[in-house]
Order: sequence, then structure tokens, then C-alpha cells
Amino acid sequence: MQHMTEQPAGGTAVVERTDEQALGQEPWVCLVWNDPVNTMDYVTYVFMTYFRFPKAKAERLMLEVHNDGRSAVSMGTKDEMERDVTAMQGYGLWATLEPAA
Amino acid sequence: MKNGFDGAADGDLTWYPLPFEVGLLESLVTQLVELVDAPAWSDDPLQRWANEHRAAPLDREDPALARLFPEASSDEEVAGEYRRLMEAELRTQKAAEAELVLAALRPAVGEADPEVRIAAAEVDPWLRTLNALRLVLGARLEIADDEDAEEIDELDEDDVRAPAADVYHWLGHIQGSLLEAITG
Repeated sequence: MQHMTEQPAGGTAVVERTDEQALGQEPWVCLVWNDPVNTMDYVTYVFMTYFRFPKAKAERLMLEVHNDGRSAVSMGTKDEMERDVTAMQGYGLWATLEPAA
Repeated sequence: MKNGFDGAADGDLTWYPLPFEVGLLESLVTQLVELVDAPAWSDDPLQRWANEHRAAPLDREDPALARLFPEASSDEEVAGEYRRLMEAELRTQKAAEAELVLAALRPAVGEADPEVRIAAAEVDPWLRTLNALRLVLGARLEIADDEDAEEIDELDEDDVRAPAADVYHWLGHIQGSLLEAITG
């Protein structure tokens, strides 16, 4: 997946982002998956507390998790999504990070 | 007071459980600490690092541990990297929060009219610990989907799973009451 760095005729190397750097800027998402143990009230509370979402948004995402089996609750860099997944797992939610499709 | 919880203006809470509830919760939280089996804490970061590296890996064959510490991505490589970086820290955090709950419970053990103080900053660790206990019991009761959960809600009294299901529902009740006490 590595680009060949193109050398213009003048011999000056063109500074190109490597694929790795480019990948680092691809957006990732934090997915929360439905599970039968966590209560709706608790999941709503977690979204309000950690993400500071207003109640209506937290409830909409909670219902999305419940009805669709999962919901992307945040999007950002891979590092940011690792932080969010860690927080969600700390609360006992079943969360994963995935590249944003 | 509502559902056994009393809130103060500063966000601190007092829980007025029945005496048996204190002992039962203390026992369950102690078991949680043992299950999580976190690397020994040290104030010395180097010693902590050494402890983390010596710690026995999590037994993910145990469904309760697999649910407490789920794989962090469907991409195996990402999940593996996350595990290496974060697993010890997650275990340490779970155990430390459980210890906070134990410290709050201990003065109330054996009291005829127990009162358990929960500082505002400890409410989330309490919620997370109660939730971890529900996840462990949910795994032991093999609750894998909503149908299983409904079955557990309607067990016959003489079902072998009934005692565990009672504890599971009781934990849900405490967690719900605590949530209600802080969100109104």
C-alpha cells in the first residue's frame, strides 16, 4: 500500500503523504452494539454523561442501538475513537472502533 | 428519600439498604475483584509496568470476562493492538472502582440500620461496578439476547437459575434507583 514517491524531472523530491499517514486521518467510528443486559435508562445516561449529548439525542442513539443492533455514537481519529471505546467499555457497554465506511 | 437513596444538594448520596443487602453486595463486589484479577497497583510507574507485564492474561474462554472486556474491534489486528495497550489498564480501573464501592460498604457491614455514603464523584464508579456485576450474572445466566432476558424475567421459583436471577434483578433495581436519584 506504499506509494512510489514521484521524482519530478528537476530531481526535487515531492513531499507526499505516505498511505500510512493518510490512513491516520481516515475517520473512525465508535460503534455501540445492542446487548440484552444493559438497561435503556443506563445506556441513555452513559451517552448523556460521557458525550454530553442532550437527552433527546442520547435517547435516539440508545433506541438506534436497541432497534438496529448497533449505532455509531462518535466519529474522529483512531486515537479519539480508542478513547471513546475505552470509556464505553468502562461503563460496560459493548463498544468497538471501526473504520468509518 | 426515594427507593432507598437520599440526595444532598452537593450531589453526595446516602443509601439506606437492608442489612442483608450490604453483605450480599460486599460479597459480590469482592468476587468481582477476584474475577478481574488486576495487576497489583504500585505508585512507582516502572513497578506498575512490570506488574502489568507479569499479570496472567485474561481468560476470554470465560464468558463473563469476555463480556466485561470485549474485543475492541472486528478487525483482529486493531483488536489485538488495543488489547496489548489497554487491557491491563481496563482491569486495573475495574478493580479500583470495585474497591471504592467496598470501602463505602465496609462501615455499614453488620449494622442494624445501615447507611452507605456515596460521594458525588463516586456515583459513576458505583454505577459501573453495579453494571459489571449485572454483566457477570447475565453471562452466568447465559443471557445472550432479548428472548433470553425475557425468559430470565419469568423463571419459575423452583428453577435452578432462580436464585441467580433474583440477584440479577435486585442489582438492576439498585442501579435503577441510583440512576433515578441522580437524574430525578
